[in-house]
Amino acid sequence: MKIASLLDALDPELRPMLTISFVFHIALLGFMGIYGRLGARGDILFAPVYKVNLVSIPGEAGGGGGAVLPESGSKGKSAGVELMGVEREKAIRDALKSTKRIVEALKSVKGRGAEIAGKEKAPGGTKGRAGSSRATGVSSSGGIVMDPAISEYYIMVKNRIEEVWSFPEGLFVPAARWELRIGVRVDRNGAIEESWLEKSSGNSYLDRSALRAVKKASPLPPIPAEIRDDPLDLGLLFTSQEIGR
Amino acid sequence: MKYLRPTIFILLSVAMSSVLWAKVYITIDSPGRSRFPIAIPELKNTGTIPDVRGFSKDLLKVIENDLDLCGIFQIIDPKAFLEKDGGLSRDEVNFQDWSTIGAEGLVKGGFVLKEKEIALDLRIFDVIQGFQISAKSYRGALNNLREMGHKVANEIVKAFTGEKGFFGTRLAFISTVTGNKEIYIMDIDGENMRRVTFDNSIALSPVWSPDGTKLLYTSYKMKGPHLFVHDLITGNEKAISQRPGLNIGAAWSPDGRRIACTLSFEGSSEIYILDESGNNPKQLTRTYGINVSPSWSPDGSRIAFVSDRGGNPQIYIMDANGKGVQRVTFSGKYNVSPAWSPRGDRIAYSGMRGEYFDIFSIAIDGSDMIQLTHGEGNNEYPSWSPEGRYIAFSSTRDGHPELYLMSSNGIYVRRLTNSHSGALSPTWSPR
Repeated sequence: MKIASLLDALDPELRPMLTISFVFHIALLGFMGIYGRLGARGDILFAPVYKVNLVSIPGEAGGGGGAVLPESGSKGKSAGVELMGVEREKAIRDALKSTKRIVEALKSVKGRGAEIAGKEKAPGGTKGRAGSSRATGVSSSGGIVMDPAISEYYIMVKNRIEEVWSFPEGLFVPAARWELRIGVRVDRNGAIEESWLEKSSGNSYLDRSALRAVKKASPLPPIPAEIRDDPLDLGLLFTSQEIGR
Repeated sequence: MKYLRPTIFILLSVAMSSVLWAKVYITIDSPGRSRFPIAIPELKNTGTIPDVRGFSKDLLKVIENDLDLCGIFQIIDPKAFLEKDGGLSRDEVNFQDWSTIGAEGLVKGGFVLKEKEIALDLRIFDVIQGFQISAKSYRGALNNLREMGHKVANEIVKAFTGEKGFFGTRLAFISTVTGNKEIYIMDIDGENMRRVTFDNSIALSPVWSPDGTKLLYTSYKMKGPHLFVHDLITGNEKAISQRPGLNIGAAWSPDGRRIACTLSFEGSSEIYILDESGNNPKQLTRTYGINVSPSWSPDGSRIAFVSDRGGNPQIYIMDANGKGVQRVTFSGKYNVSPAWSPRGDRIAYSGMRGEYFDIFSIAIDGSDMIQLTHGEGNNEYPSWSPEGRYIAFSSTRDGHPELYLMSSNGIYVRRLTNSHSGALSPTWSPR
């Protein structure tokens, strides 16, 4: 065993300390991993790059991966207040209407034009407690590298569900910031075998609109060969765009 | 040391497996449709008297018009319906037939006609999940189908959003159709418009009493400006404050027992609180500047108002005893007409940006300012719906001022009046 021989080579006095430290760190990693599976910490959040970039167009807001869940997004929020100009509101509002238009809007963003075609399919996932789409600016730098075919599949799933999701923004109660999580089990053909609410938004009516969207979206596109899971368990994080209330 | 290796092995595999098994979450944040598709088949006559005069159709029209007005529903064209003559109960509904045509919601009703009334059995279904959301019975006079229609529409909104709609509420506003500024009221769907004042002068700033039976307003009919109360039931009118100088911009406290207004009988225009008959003025502000447009917090403990104490008109809030003044708006040089939201967390106001007034909303601590209208003409006089989801306002975006409503985030906008002359300063009635 390599680890054992490494220990043998060390000063005997250091060994116990190093062992304790090693065990402690492994335990910590394990704990984080387990916690991540049960809660949100270890989950990979997939938010396509184009979307992340679009939301942070007006400023440098929403950078680091730390600020995530709606309450903690205060940094991004205050920047948003300053920049709450007509153009920003309109740009976001128009862009929200369809993913297609989001991509187009992005194309017009200075200096990014060339990157877009490739990035549309690029990995947008980021690890850790990086939650809302606004805060996942870290995606391209610190994220997990994902097979393009897989991330393309995730984008297709996203588009399919958003296309059928009916939601009168701003007319819901509470119309402020919210998020909810739905788990789905998908078979190889894309049919949703099962869907369940993992975390409520706190408003059952809002939860229902998301659950309806998921049911309406079935079947999703067939699962690509690059993903081996059968069936595939996916998480869906429904959230508000944080524009107005 | 004996257990070191197995311990490390176990911990390492747990750590590895949990990293590998991390779940991917896909963010869904851009809804493709902004309205719930809903199907409402013809109401079914389950009684013995035939509906020769088409009462059920009239009732349905009121309901459909309401659901369209609120911006939450898209009503599916009945020509697309696959189910013919289905029953009312859950077992008799073929949800597949309704989801195929794109419906998420289904509203069914069975009615029984009597000599002077109609009884309605209402069922609301979630088509996609295949369950009944709500079942209610209604009874209403045939000569007041609108009231019943509004109640049904409110229930449908509640079934899909958790909160009743605003149907059955009214707006008071100022119209210049006669050439003078007179006060009018109408139902929120534009029906039953009625002129309230016949002052042949200038009437301004109508506000509803908390019970919805009276209007308090400012009028120049006896020179003035003075404050008057108009009883909408009896038609009686009485002066509340005719002190020297200004008597303007009054607002009833939520309990109806106090009136906040601006008076200038002691010199500068300051905010006072009067009792319900207009006596015992208590001065709240003392700045020797302009202090106007009081708006109560829903719990009656605080008042938002406009003051130029900082050099230009801005929105401030204070306790109802005049203490604890805090400035709320800092952006823009001219912010007026504060309206405290029914949920208590925000204030809507109109602010000048460039040449025009636009409507904004801001948290009461001055954070999270949102611009709700965007330079299409002048947008002024915001007034919240009783449940706080909508804001009524007047705008000159189509030429002369007309009344509009919008969702409280400004995304959904709908014009309410077509006066061809001018309608402005709407205030939303209580429920």
